[in-house]
Amino acid sequence: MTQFPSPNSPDFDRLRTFLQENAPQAPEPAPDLEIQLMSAIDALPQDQPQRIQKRWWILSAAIVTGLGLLWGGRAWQMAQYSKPAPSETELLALQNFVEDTWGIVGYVDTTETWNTTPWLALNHTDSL
Amino acid sequence: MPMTLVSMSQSSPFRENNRDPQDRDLVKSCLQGDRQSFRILYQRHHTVVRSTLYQLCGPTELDDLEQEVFLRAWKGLKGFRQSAQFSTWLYRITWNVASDRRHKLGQERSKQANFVPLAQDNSDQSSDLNHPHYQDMVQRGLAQLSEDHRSVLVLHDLQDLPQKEIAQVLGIPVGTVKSRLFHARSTLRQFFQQEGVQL
Repeated sequence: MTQFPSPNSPDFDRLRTFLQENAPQAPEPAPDLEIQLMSAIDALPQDQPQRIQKRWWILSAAIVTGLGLLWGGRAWQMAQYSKPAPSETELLALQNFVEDTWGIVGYVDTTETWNTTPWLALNHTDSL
Repeated sequence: MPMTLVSMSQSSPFRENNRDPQDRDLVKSCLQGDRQSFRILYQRHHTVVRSTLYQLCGPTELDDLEQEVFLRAWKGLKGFRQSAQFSTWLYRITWNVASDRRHKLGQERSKQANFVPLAQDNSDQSSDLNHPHYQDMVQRGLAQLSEDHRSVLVLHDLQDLPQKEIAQVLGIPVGTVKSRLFHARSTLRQFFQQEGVQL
């Protein structure tokens, strides 16, 4: 691993000194630069730099309120349009219907199946 | 004939302005909307910011760049971590502005020409016959360096920042700072030797 000399190494002391003594000096700023800067800051929105934080709070509150309204509206709508609970008579009729039709649903006709029809039988292919 | 220069370094502007506890108080006031506190921060740090910008970018649009640094600082104060040093954070912004500026210049293919008028400006500003010559030479030497090497050298040797802080400003490991500093100094010393100055 390469070892670089210490920043205060005598090897570079004179170089550093030379640089510091002869560093080019920046030209003087415009006399009104500070005023210009403060004017530019004044021209920014009044709440800089804090308004952005307030905006986030406002945005968050708006989102939460919106979601609450959405949920509340949906619940209200469900309550308005949902059907009432079935009566005893309706439940009894439903039970009777299920009992009467239970056997029909489970019945399977085994007398004839689709693959016994002559036009699909494989032994008929020779005559085609 | 080669010349040898031996003298001790002067105190750095950074250390003169190193009043971080007060800076933190001012930042807190700024966050509560006190613009006068920001004005004090500007007055405290603008010389170092300007000097760094000049050494990194040259004289063109220097006022605009300086203003850009402090505007970015004002806008970004809410994201400033109170545990960090304000000066380090400001150096980081300064370096970003300088970097953006040089990339823009690079795109306009006028980067090289940007450093030429600087020597002329300096020779007009000083009455010392030798000093401007060296200033010109230093500036031309800095222009020889890559952006990465120049940034490290300016922050370390001209602004007197410790290596650890430079690593934070530039977002690179301390080892990389050492490496870049070594190569930058070697390149510069070679350049000065070619110019007849033995260091």
